[in-house]
Amino acid sequence: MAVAALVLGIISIIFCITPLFNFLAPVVGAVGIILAAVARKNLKDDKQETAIATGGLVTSIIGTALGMLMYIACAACIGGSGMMMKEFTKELQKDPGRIEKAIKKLEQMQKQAPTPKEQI
Amino acid sequence: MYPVIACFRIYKNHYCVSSYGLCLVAAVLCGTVISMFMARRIGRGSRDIFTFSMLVAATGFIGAAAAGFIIFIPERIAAGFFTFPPVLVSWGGMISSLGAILFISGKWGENAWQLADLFTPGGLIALGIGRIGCVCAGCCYGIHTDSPFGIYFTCPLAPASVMEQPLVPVQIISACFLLFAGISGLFLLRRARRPGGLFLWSVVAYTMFRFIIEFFRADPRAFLLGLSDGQWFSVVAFAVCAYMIFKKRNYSRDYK
Repeated sequence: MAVAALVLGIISIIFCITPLFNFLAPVVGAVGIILAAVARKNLKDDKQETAIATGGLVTSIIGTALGMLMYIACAACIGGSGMMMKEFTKELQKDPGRIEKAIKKLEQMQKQAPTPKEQI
Repeated sequence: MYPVIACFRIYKNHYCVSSYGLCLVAAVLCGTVISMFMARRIGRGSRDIFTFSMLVAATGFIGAAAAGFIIFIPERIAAGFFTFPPVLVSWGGMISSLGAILFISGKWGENAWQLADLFTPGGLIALGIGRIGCVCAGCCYGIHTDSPFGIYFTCPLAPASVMEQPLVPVQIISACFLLFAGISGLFLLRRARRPGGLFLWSVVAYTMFRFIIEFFRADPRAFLLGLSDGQWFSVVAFAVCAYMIFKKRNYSRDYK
């Protein structure tokens, strides 16, 4: 279980920097934390070495924390902001480091889109 | 309100740090530190509490993600299964965290009520910090209001920005309530007469608050018979905890 936790922790860190699998990183990391915590407690109770379990816990915590830092919002309404985020990232690709310019472009897009009240 | 704090470029790919994510990390950190501190104050080892705290936090995160996956399955199928973004639902996290406490109690012989009391103040404060993250992200927003207390969400990345502004600041109200309840719990933990008292009364207070605040929310949620998923959770949790409080009171009276 300790080795599994270490492997999951390393995978979650790799997922954080892999574009397609960003959203899986916190989930994989959380599973790694659970396995590492259980393994660590069991090994401590049996008075055995906990180095691998501790390593698994540390890597899983790092992977989960890094993955969480990229969570844009919690609720399903991020369906809309998910699209906005895609556009935001596209604008950044064209002109890296100019966050203000990308947000201004999105504000223009938003002004052109009808509000929910207008739609009703 | 800044949904995105900063973006970095690492070898042709862009990675953005969100304020909501930062609040999530801060919430788990604060909850863990507070639980360890309170464990020391009541005379129990803080190292074990760190391990248990990580277990409870990780299980809570998975439960929140699982609840978000399940309740939005129709929307997920309509929008495209893998294009619909991952969603976190707070009550899913609470239920799975409680499951983790029961697992710890069963596996290692810990008193579940004492553990629940120990994690309650840290958990409430962590939820409060999470709600501050909701303000920053512009999610879990309120209905339109013309009162002077309304807040404007202007960043187009915020889901609330598409609504008619200003909105009822339900996230701020929730954060204030949770932080107040958590801080009160810090002082009440040592004075709790029976194990589990602090946890049960906190859940009763939170569910009552949540039921009322849900009427002022306008973000997409699952609805059944006119009540939102948060309200159904509040009703069920309130009933269970009220029954447990009544049962514990009768038990101690009979065995005096």
